[in-house]
Amino acid sequence: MGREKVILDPSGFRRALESRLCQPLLSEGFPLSDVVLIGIYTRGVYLAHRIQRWIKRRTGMSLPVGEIDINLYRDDFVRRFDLPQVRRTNLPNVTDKGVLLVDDVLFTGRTARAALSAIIDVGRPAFVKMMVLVQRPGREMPICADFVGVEVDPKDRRVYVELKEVDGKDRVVVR
Amino acid sequence: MVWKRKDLVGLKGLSREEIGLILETAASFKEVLFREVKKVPTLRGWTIANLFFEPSTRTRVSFELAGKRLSADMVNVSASSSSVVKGETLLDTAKNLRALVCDIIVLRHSLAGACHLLASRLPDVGVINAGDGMNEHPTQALLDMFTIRERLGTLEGIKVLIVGDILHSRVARSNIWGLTKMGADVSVCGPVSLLPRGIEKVVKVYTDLDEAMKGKDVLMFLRIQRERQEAGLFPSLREYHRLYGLTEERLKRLATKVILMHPGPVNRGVEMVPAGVDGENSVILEQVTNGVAVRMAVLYLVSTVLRR
Repeated sequence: MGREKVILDPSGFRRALESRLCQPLLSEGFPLSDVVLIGIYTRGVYLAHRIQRWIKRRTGMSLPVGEIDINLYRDDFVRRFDLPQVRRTNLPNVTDKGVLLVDDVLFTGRTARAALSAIIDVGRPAFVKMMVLVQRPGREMPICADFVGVEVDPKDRRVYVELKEVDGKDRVVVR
Repeated sequence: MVWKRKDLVGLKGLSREEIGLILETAASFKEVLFREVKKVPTLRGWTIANLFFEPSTRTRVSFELAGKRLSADMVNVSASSSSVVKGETLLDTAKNLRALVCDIIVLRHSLAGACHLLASRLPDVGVINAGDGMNEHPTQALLDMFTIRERLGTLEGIKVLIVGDILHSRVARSNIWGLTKMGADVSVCGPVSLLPRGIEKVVKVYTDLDEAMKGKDVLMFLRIQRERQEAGLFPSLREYHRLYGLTEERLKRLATKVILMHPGPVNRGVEMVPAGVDGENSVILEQVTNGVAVRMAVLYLVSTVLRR
């Protein structure tokens, strides 16, 4: 497994999620009433729901949450051996809405590129903004995040986002 | 669970997990059918040939739409309008399709085992069985299972009765293999002359339909082919209907939660009265819709293996 370095412990995780992803949404220039959250499977979906619940607690507004599976839009089929199962894409109406696209890690940008294609296939959003818990260097596409929880440079190692819903606790580690 | 087959020859050789994966994948694909733009780019640049040596509208169109919804290019080859009438063998026709760079061949043939032959002789082409003689019709059974699962929530413990010409039916064979693996309780009912020998070792057998229908969740009626009557396997269509068809009287006795299925095309008034075909219990048209989602799933899974 190699050396493990904890980037965010549970309380750091919570601070990053709340103060760097959720809180800034309230002071952005767009009305949240015209915004939908779309999570990218698997962990982006859980994060999108967490952000939705936080906004609801704060403002009483209940934003629609969609889920997107980008497997059908991949550009790296040939190199993937362990193709995960295709999950159900379930998108709210995005036409003329602001879309907040949520994922756990932004790395090459290829997943975000695929997600954009998938969103554009079902409608014409007013804008799309990207929210990621972790941003790391290594972009292969001209894509950047609008809201970032934490930035890391793990060099050759991998970033793992662990979530209560899947892994039992909230943590970000580099291995 | 990772899909590892480049072909879908039948359900007999599949594991419960593999069947489950196809059904789960199909559930994800069904959403695409109801989008405004009913298309995803997954198989863009792929070529799929529908090679049909027997007449078919529903299955051929269903595969064609499944391929098109995945952005593949589809070509249709039917035996009557191809070099088959000039004496070309099945394998030569298929090799020519490969030379034309077709990635997947969907085959329907009157000989059992035709699909297995192509699959084993063409190592770099995906082969999908769309019906081979009296052997199997796996995608039909998969769409039947998908429909049952969508309606009743599970296949485990569901009591399914298949009624009619079991002997000549590839739909029945595939359904018996598949449903049994998925934990359904399968039984069959039909005239003794239309039941295969030894079937009682695999499933429960009834010859009295009224007795058979008791307590069942799903009634699946099979198409009766008129040639079978000419061959003397049952006396008349009228008698067949009275003994093994869904009559008005049997329809009235049906509980509301029982679902009625038919692989089509229906002989109205023979296998089922029109009120049954069109009634509240019928899921016949849902089966048709689900067929596209299931075939998309199969094409997709096979393509993931061919890409490696």
